Parts: sequence; C-alpha cells; structure tokens
Amino acid sequence: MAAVQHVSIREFGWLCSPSLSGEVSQPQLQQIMASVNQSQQQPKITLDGEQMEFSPGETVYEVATRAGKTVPTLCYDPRLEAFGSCRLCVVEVAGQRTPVASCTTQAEDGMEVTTASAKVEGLRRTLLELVASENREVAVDALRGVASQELGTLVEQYDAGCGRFAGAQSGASRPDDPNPFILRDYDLCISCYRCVRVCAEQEGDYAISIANRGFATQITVEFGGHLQDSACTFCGQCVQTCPTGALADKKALRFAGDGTLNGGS
Amino acid sequence: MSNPLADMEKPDVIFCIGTNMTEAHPVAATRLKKALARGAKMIVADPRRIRLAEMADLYLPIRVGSDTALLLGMAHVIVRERLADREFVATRTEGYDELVDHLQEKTPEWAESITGVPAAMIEEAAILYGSSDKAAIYYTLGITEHICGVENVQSLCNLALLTGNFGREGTGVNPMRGQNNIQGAGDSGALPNNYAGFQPVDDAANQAKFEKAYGRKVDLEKGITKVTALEQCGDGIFGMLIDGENTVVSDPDQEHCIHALKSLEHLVVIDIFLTETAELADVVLPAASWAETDGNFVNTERRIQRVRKAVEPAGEARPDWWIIGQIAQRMGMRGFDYDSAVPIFNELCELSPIYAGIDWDLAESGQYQWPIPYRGHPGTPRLHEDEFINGRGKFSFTDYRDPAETIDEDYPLWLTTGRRLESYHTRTQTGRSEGINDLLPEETLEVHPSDAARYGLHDGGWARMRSRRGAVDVRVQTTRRSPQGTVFASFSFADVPINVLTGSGYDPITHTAELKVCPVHVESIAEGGAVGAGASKVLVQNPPGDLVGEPR
Repeated sequence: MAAVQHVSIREFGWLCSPSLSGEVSQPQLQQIMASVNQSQQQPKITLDGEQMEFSPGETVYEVATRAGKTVPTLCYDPRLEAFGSCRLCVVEVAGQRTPVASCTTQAEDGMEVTTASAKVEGLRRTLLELVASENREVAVDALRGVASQELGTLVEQYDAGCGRFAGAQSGASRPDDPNPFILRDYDLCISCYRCVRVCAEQEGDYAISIANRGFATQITVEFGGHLQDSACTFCGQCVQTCPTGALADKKALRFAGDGTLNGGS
Repeated sequence: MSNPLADMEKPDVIFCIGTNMTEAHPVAATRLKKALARGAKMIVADPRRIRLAEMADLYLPIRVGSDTALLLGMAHVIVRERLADREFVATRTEGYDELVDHLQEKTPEWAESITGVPAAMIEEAAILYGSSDKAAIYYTLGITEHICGVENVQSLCNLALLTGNFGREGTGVNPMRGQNNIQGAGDSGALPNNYAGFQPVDDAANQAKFEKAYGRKVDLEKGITKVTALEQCGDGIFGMLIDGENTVVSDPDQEHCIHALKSLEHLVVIDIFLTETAELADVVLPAASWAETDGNFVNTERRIQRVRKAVEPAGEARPDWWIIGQIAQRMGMRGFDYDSAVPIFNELCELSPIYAGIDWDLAESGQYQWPIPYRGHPGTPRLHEDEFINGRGKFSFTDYRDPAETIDEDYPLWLTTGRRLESYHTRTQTGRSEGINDLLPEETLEVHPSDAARYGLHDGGWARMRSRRGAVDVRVQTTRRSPQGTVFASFSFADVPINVLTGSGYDPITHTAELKVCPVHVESIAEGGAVGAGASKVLVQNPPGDLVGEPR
C-alpha cells in the first residue's frame, strides 16, 4: 500500500499530461522535480502572440485570465480543483493536434497558445449548443444565485440556441424536497458538478454526489432522498456556485418578480 | 487566536479540546477539514462523541471538567519522552525546571484516574502532539466555562511552550471566539479592568492619558464583572443598561438572574428584538441591526472588518453608538456628540497602541490584524513570532480541581451544555429566521441509551431534569454521542431554559460561569412544558404562506 506515494496534482502536476486525473506516482514525481530544477529562470508562454511569464504550477487558463483574456467556462470555479468537463475553455496549443482544455493544462515554458481562434470559437458554440440542448430557453431569475446567469450569458453571447440538438432531457427536478432553503430544479442542471465539488472540497461535507452515468446522470443525496435527511448543512455554497440556477435560493426567490418559486423558468 | 485563520490549514497535528467547531464555528471549521484532507492528524478531547471526534485520528473521551488533569498528564509525557523543544524552552520561556518538578506526580496514570481516558491514549496524544514539527491547539468555551477556566488555558499554553509551538505557521494556541465582534467589544474597552486597547485602568499612566483625552476625571478603580453586578442588583445597584445581550437566557442560574433584574429600580435594554431580557425592561431602545449600521467588527483572528450599512434601520431603530451617545449627553456628559461611527473608531485608534497604525479609512481594506503599532505597519497575523508580550513565556504550575459541584446520589448525571449548528446563541435572530426552525424545531436532551434505560427515559419522550437550582422539562433523544453518565442540551431555546439549572460556580479570576458542568437528576414524565422558570414561550410562529409548504 505504501509503495506508491501519491501527490496532489495542484502541487506537482504542472508537467503532467492533461488527461492525468489528479495524482502522480513517486517515479513520475522525481522526473518532474528533475526537470523543474533544470530551468531556474521564470518560464514564459506565448499567449495570442504576447509573452507572458508564469509561475510553475499555473494552468494555461490561469495565465490567460491574468493576462486579461476572456476564456469562457462553465465547470470552473477558482476555489475548486480544475475539472475539465465542460471543455468551453479549449484553446489551441501549437504542435498539439487538437485543442486542449486550458483549465487542466499546465503552462509549459515556450508553449504557444491561441485563446480565441475562429476554430475554438466555433467549437465553443457547438459545445454550448450541446449543453443548452436539454435546457428550455428560459430566463433564469438572477435571485436564484450569484452564478446563475453564467450559462444564459454564454448562450446569448455565442448565439447558441438549443434547437439543433434539442430533444431528450436529463436530470429530474425535486420539487418534492421540502427543505426551506434550496430549490432543486435539476431540469436546468448541466452536470458540471460544481455543486458536488464545492460541497466536498470547500465545505468538507460530502453531502451530495453523482448517481448514474452519461445522460442518466443525476445530482443526488443518499437513497435519492431529501437534503434535510443527508449531511447537508444548508451552507448554500452549492447554490452560489451553480452556473444555471438549477440550485436556487428559495428565500431570495420570495422576491422574484412573478411570485412563484420557479420564477422565470 | 495567536495565529490567523488561514493557518488552520497548515498544521501537521491539530489538537482540539473543548470545541465543537463544526457546529459552533462551521465556516472556520472548513479550513480544519481541508487540513485533514491534506493529511494532517487530529487529536480531539471532548466528553461527547461530536462530529469532530468522529473525524479525529485519536479521540480522548474525557469526563467533563477534567481538562487540566489531561493536559498535565500530556505535559508529563512530553517531558518524560524528551519531546520538549530545548532551544525554544531555553531562549523563549522561563520556569521550565520548576515545571518539571511540578509535573513529577502528574503521570498519565494519575490523569487517567481523573479524566477516565486510558493512560496509553494520553501518552499517544502527547507523543503525537509533541513530536510533530507544526502542532496547533484549538479550543472554545469547553475550556473556559469552568471554575478552572484560567488553569485550563494556562495548561494548554504549557504544552505549546514546551514544544515550541508558538509564533510559527500552523502552530499556536487558538481560542475560537463565540461572536462576530466579541473581540472588538473587548478591544474597545467593554471590559471592567481595561480601557480601550487592553490598557489596564489601574495603571497611573493610562489614567493620566485617558483623563487628558476625555477632558475629565476617570474612574480609578477596576469595574465589576457582570456576575458581581447581578449579585448587587437591588443592593447597591439600582439601575442597569444592557446592550445587545439576552442575559436572561444566556446566563447561568436563570431564576437568580431574573430575580436580580426585577430587583432593579430601572432597567434599560438596547436590542434589535424584544428578547426575553428586554421584556423585563422599563425602557427598550430599538437598535439598528448589522445590516443597518456602519462600523467595524473585529473577528477571532483580530482582523478588523468594515461593516457597511445596506438598508435604513426599521422604524425608530438607531445605531447603538447613537443611543449611548444620546443617553450620555442627556446625563450631561461631554464628548459623546459623535455624528457617525467614523470619529468613534478614529478615537479608538488614537488611544490604543494596538490600533495606532490605522484609522477608519485604512480599515476599509479589511487587511489589518492587530497589533498595528505604527503607520505603515502591515498588521500582525501571527502573534509571538519573535518574543512574547512580556518577553518570555512563563510556564504555569496548574493543578486539577474538582468542578464546583460533583455528581452524587441525588444528582447522579453530569449535564454539559453547548451549541447546535442550526441555532445561534439564544435564537434572538435565528429563532426569527424562517426555515431554521424547520431544521431544528425544538431542544432535546441527548442521553446515552443505557442511561435512558437506567432512568426510565424513552427516545422522543419527556424528562424532567433537576439541579440544585431548578428544573426544566425537555424531550429526550437517545444517542451514543453522549457518553454514559453525561447528558447534553443546548441553552438556545427559551422554552427549554437549560440555564435554570446551571451556575454552580465561577472562575475566581474571570468570573466566567461553569456552564459546562452541572450535576443533574432526570426522571421520566408524561408530557413536558409544566416546569421552567420565567420566560418560557415559543419565539416564532411560521408566517402564513411560508416557504416550507408541505408539512414534514
């Protein structure tokens, strides 16, 4: 058991391939440390033609954001470990056959990155169409949560209607959950797992998790029950990170325009 | 706290004693959870198997009120195993040799005989704490609300001094303060023995300084504590002003407290709601709430944080500083004609060395942790880095004492009190917050199943609980969270006034009540609600059309 020592990717993973899921083994680590020690100079990447210095460990997304670039994301929350599931943050890296997710790609010395080529912008639009395909085209009340407008804003910005791929619907809402604080309107859920991750990584409560796979994915608590019967403390972090308003602040929604809890959707 | 909150993520070993921080300090506790996720080890000493105990690598189930014995036993092992930090002890402390003599008899076996924790576990805890590079202590009122609160804290300091766990990242002795601004209240002089900035009132230089600042004579004597003041009500004290405290529910020995307040000729209460205490007042002055006033809060890590008014105060409510200023002016006192919170805060900064480096405008950033001794000083997130305030850290030669009352045939169970995640303090605010009452509708007495069987109690049934001071009726919850022989309830619910029972004794130095220990007797009763001194009522009715909709 103790033969392989595992290390967090946040600390040592900057030279690993983006497909690595979060851990490196001891031999890999030694290799990494050796290559780090080789170059003591502040490394740089080329970002849309401009040189940007970065600190070892920074991702391409973090460097780009620091440089003032607007790279769209849905599954990203700066407080959480990068997840790489929505792929909206794809960028082109010279020498790479396909665009890469910038949030999980560590910056490497000499890397040449293009953040908004016509090709990646097209990819982003298609990705958004796929994401939006099962979401009704509705205005989501901003009172649902601080991040609740993220999806709607991007869909509008990329003119990505849901028509082309519309059809099936994943995720079942839980209007039956009687808790007084959190509305669970999973019809709007895009399975970015920000709620699940913030509950685990930030709160350490592990109250909610993911059931099933693919289209049958459902955010849930144990036995498909109500939040009140789980480890949930109603801290509200999940509501505030949800980028679609699928999780919403019931008490704030009392002030929603149409006076209904589902205000706007 | 000696160390900043951010340091909670840094220790190798965390020793939590007398703190239920996942319930009482849930936001700060997320940092501790991150430390554990990173691989830090945790020792938890608590009479109850709380969530923190479940998360611990080593859980020490101590008998209530036996903390000093446990800590002396741990110190003994640290010395015996040569885990003391020789360099730190030599350069930063004094009294080590005397401490070693003092600890001779404080063996883990001796500690076991008092705490009930097996000696081997005490040894394991001491070795774990003593042999790590960065070990931090966190504690809350489970340490201080005892007749030996001061000795408990001193015993913790001994451990940190012995092992050199001061002044570095991820170390320290860290009390988690119970209120958002209790630190700020003390900073600004709301203490009987200090002027603002912890400057003793009986120091001649301080007296001269404040006489000059205020342009009038100042009191030269130490003030009296609240405990003493309540004792003197009707006998020397005839008028009282209570600002923002629900004394009747939060303080020990409720019957005595109500009697004291009723003995006054004139009671004025300033609060944002008509609390149980305000109901006893001759005059209630409505205060502006935290969202309705400007000012600064100072939190548990000594960080000064701006509070910004978001909405106008409701009705005739006014900020506390305005109310107090008006009363003072109408009593003919000069110097209270403030027009906002700004000059008040600036006065605090001018008169307090620990605030000397900032003013209202600089505090805006929220980046300062006092002491900030001069302009341009960045603040002090971590105390005691180079030296202690008085130079060297002094070892204390503490000893174990029994609680003020101990269990006997008439009162065979230990009652310990505390907080619950859902309700805050006496529920002045949370009891009026829609939703929270659905999560925690009523108070229960947590009883170990075998104790329940022994005393004829049933899960969900009712118990009448008596102490030497009174009795309350409370619904029973059987749970192994309570150890055998100890029951628990929070003091939050005015309709289950647990503080009718407490108040057996007080720390002689701080006058803090022994709220954590109270021998009680319990018996099964058919239905509750008959017994409970004074202010027994339900605070909140859910308004019609509330969010919950379906009954549970």
